[in-house]
Amino acid sequence: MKMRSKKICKPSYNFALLMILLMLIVVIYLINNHFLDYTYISNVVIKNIIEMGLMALAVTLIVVTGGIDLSVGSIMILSAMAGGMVVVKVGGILGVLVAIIIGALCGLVNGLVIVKLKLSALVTTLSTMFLFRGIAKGMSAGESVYSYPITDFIGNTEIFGLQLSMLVYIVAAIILTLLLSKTITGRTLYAIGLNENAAKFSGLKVEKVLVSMYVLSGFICALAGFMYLGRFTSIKFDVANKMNLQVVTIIVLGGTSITGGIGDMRGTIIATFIIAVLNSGLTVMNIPIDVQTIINGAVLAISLIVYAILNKHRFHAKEN
Amino acid sequence: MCEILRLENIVKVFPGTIALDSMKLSVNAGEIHSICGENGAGKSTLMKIVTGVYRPDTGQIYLDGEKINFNNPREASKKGISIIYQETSLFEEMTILDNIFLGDEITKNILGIRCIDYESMEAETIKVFEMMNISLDFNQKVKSLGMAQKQIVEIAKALKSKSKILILDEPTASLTEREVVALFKIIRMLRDDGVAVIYISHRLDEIFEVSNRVTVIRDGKFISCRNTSDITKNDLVTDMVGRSVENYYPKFETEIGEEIFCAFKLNQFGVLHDVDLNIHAGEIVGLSGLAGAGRTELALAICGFVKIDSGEIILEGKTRRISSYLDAMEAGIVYVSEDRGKYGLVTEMSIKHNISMSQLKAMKSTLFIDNEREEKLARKYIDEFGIKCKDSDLLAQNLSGGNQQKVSVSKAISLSPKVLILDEPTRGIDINAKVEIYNIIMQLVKNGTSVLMISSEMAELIGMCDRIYVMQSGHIKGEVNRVDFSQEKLLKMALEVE
Amino acid sequence: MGIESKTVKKKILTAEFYLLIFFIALLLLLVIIAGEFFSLNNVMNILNSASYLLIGAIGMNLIILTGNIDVSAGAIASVVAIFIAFVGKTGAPLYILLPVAMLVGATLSLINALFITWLKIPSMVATLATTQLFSGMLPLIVEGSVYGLPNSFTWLAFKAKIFNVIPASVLGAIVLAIIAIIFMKYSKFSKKIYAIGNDRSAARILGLHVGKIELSVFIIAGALYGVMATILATAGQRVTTTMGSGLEMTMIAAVVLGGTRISGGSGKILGTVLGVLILSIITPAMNYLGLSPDWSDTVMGAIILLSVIVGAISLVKKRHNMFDLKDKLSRENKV
Repeated sequence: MKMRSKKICKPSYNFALLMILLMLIVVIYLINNHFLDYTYISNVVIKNIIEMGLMALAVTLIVVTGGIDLSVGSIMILSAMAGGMVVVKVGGILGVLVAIIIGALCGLVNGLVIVKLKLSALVTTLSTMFLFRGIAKGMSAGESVYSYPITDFIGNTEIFGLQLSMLVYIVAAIILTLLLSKTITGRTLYAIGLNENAAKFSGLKVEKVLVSMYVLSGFICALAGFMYLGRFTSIKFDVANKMNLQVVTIIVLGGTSITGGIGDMRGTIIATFIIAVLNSGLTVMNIPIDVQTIINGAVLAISLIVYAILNKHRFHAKEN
Repeated sequence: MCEILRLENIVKVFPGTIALDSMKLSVNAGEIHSICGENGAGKSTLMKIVTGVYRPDTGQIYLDGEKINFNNPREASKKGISIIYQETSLFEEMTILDNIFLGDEITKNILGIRCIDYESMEAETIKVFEMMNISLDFNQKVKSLGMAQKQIVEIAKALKSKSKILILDEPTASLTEREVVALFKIIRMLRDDGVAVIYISHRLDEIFEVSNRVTVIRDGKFISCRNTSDITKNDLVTDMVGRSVENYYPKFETEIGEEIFCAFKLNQFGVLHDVDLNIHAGEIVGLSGLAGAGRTELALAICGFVKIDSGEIILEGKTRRISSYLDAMEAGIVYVSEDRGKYGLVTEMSIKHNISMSQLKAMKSTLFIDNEREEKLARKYIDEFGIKCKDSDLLAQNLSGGNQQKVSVSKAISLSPKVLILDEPTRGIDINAKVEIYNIIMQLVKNGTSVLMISSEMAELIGMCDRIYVMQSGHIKGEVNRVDFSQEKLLKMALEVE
Repeated sequence: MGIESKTVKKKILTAEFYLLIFFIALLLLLVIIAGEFFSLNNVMNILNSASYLLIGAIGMNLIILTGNIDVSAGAIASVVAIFIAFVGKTGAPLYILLPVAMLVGATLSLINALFITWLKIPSMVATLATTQLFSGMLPLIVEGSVYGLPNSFTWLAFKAKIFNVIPASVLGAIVLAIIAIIFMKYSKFSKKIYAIGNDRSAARILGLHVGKIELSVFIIAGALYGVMATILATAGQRVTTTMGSGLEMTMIAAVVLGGTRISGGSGKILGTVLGVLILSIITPAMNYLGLSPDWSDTVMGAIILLSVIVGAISLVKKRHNMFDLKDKLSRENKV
């Protein structure tokens, strides 16, 4: 007699996340009424999360297959730096091209090692996280790389009162949500996460899809790199770690299972906003940056704990 | 011979099903006792109770006359009950020696600290190996061993802990004939030494060859326990099935057309050698052979999962280049893999999503997958094949084995293949479901599809096929037509070495 | 006779042997190209850093053998360093600082272990979270660094020397390494560690208390991190909040370079020793060879990636049944 596997009901999990988001907004608003001002929202809340939110979208696709990409922050930095350094020597357009190519290339390295050499995604991207960051450090000799006109444009323009970067995020979010839930590629991703062999035996292009997801991730990291460079006008290699962690936090908070097969983009998006609100809420309450680090760690820890408890009976079923 | 294990009135209930119903069992020391029954009969539950994995809801267990209760597997193994499963549970990266003694290492005191005493462990292992008449370098890692050798290590492990009862669960599934002979020799030696060997198997020939008595169980109930010398295979089947063998296979005459498929001189280094095989329209062709003969490998090669080094695939007179499974599907060759849980289905997905998985492109309308189309497709096969479910959104894992297999087969049939390759299509499903699958196959060939059936059950091949190829070590040893079918002939071909 | 010599050959030509050759080759290269590398001061410095690295790496090795990973090791070291700095300000000598360090390290590592064994959170994400928690704690307690530490604090680094020249930490590392090697060969506990790393569920069925064993491993590793942090912290009269930062990568690099499989179940302490030795001379060697230290992270990352790839390639080479392999490997993708 097969036991029913009690998956946590994703729609209700998403609903709970939404409630948490609303609660947070209300609490912070009560503390500081300016919180809901439009300028504040677009300048502080949204802006600070765009890059990580973008990368989290791409990584969600990967985590659904049971993989992970820990190197996203490092790819972002490396591509942005490479682009920036090229621009200084040669010019804007080439810089953009180089950044995108580097990003995609890094993703390709991840994808090929994981898929062709069959190394675990965890170990591979842990190594490349370190490797890519190291290359960025070496290339820049530890110094900062500065922004250039195109990145300024991408990072800072407003269209109809909406930040261009926000627009990019919305478009990406819509495209990737649809990709995951309604396309053949999306179905393939879930199949891989639940039973890769069965997916292969059904004729799904498993290897191709997997590698392209990692390349996509690299490309999106490069995109995020543009925005970051534009917004902060300079970038240094040591930002990578914080990025990597935030992305993982968003994904875990969003309810996408690290073991694969479960999760959707909606959860990631809501989680992105929760982190955005949380971070800016802390700023509003004048809590120093140092504390924010530990709070981010606590959010990840709590998400993991909650997820583990919710899934405890699922694990028990599996072990029997 | 005295009784060493006795189970009385064992009842075990799981939510929604009675796994064991007043089960009884009696095993003597110094005998090889087979337990026989269809899948779902309760064999594995029964063994789990004997080995302490489950506690019975009611009933008594007597070991050597003494009433006992096992709270966990460790207690059972301490009392001398060992079980060897098909998938051995050895630790691959550790040595044979480490594996045999794990958890129970011999230690000696050096300067007041307990250290592992390798010399004593090696000496004892040598003794056990001598007793079994084998020689292995026990300092090599288990991962470098073959299946048969791994089983031997497991048996050595049981011997070292002086097991009184040794349970073997389908031990010969992945052994060559020579290895089976060697295994039987060891089992007989154990029996002569006073060990009680419980032998669980589907293979009636083996049961009669090696065991003294056989217990048949069906639907969780005890049916019979008799000496193998007193009964025939038919008696066993009748007990297992509750009906006689003849009505088993729903085979009828179908129109067999032109040659539709031909594999010509297929070679894959070390795996397939000059394989020639052809199939006609509407024909059921069987592929027989013992484990390791290369049947699945042949199917994988034909379907483009693994590259072939040389040879041709000719479909409907035209040579086709098949470099991936997608090419094969496009050409009209579809494969249904042998282990539906592992390879055939994504059990955590719905019936609907499973059935449509091979043809998602056809399920598309503009950019996205159309749920209506998937629903329609699933409905068609749920109705046609009688898949027992509330609706097509039910997760495949909630279906019984037979129904799961129907889903797996539906996925393939929905592609309207010209050649359908079924790998062990009725493995692990109960009698009634088997017959339903056979009916599905007959319907298929009636409509002109050709079927290549790989099976380890010779009776099944003889019952269903028009022709049977016999494979051995990657070669096609021979081809037999329906008129000449006999189990002896097939087995002889499978065994004969050049 | 021929068969005997074959097995003897097999026993010598292990991975550890090749590592040793590589290490010696590196040394020779340095002798030839940069002779001044072998100044007394330089060698002693390298020995010291190799020592604390090795002690921590042994702990990491144990964790990785069980099929887990610990990226919080550096953060734990930082916390321990600050903690004993506070204790050291009172003038406490080494024989108090060391046990305290081991206790704190073990406690922090225990927190990791509870996430992993009790809540069943995969070790990678669990330790990712605790890294943030541990290192995030520090700026709240201390602004930047603890300074003005008394002489009693720096005794280990400045005063404790063998033959007046070799740092005592080297002795500590050698002793611990020997104990570790003997332990991993001759104790029943070590067999259990290997078993868990090989096949967690089979180990459980065998009756091994997987959770308890993992817990113990993490606690031991934590204590070792504490020793490592002590050596690090007592090197000078000021302890910063980021002393251990990044160390975990070097430790992991040493462990995988030494031949321990990242998925667990196989690997030797001796290999880790050699891995540490090689890594310890690579960074300073690069300096001497003119390569900027900014590239050392790259080299470390490349070493990890290459070591892990090499480990995986030998697995892929065995082309059995294509799908047997996949099963094996998908089981291994647990880390």
